[in-house]
Amino acid sequence: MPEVIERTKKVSFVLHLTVLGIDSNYEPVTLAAFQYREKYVYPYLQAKGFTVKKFQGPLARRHYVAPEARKPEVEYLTGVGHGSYNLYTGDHGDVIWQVGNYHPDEVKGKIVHLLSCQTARDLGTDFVRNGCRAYFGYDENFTFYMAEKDTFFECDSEIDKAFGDGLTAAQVYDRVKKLYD
Amino acid sequence: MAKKTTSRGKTLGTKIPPEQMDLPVTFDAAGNLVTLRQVMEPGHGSVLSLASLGPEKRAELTVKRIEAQPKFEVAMVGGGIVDKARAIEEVKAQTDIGKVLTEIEQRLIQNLLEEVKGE
Repeated sequence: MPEVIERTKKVSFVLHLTVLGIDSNYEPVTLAAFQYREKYVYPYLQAKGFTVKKFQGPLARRHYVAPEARKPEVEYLTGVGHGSYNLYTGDHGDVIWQVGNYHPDEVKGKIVHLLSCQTARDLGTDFVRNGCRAYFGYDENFTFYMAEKDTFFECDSEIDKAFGDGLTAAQVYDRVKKLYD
Repeated sequence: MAKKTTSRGKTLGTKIPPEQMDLPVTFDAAGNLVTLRQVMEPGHGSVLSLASLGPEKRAELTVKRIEAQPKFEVAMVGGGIVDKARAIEEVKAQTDIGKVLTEIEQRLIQNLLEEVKGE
């Protein structure tokens, strides 16, 4: 038997940590949140050194989002859109994530925050079962007064900012809860 | 509900928005509505605590508060925008949306009363 020789080399990669922003804006409620996030959330994350890739409006569709979400450099998924207990939607109701209908690599090792109604109950827990490091969302309807919308959005976006500041999931929760209370 | 100073100004050096002052926050013993301004007046009479109000009185209080606001719009990520007329109907009928609105108003009132108490 001839001796088997293995030739190898070590390769290292530098990945720019990336945030995916998946925002609906096709009706007044999501539009209001989208505008706030554009103004305050994404610039903050960029200032903290993250590469931000946005899938907003017509691009907030599973067709575009799913392949990007699977990329290893994606660290954080954030967005606003309509939802229900087991799914999150993008532009005009396009289902982006639904329990049992996504690849685990889309959330594995990542942190997710969705400003959406109800998703924390089933979709969020399903994400975590599939390897998501942490899920931030709401298990009931996210309801707010339009006259005070920025106050509510500020509370919600504290999740994004705290993540950008490098806090752990538990620290993020504590900081945001304090602001809400 | 988030407790935060609004951009519409402050009242009496507190965090209380001026438009909240003349909105009802509870009832007196005779069943009359009592505004926040009345609660803040020195020597005001006793009023019913929020905890003592039953579901019907809470709904009634919520309806009165909504009716008293010139502009009222509440948004739900998933339910769209609920305008004043619909909000009143939802609360009166105690639908899921109406119950949420009632709960929001209760929390808001609670925060306002705590703010007043802390003065």
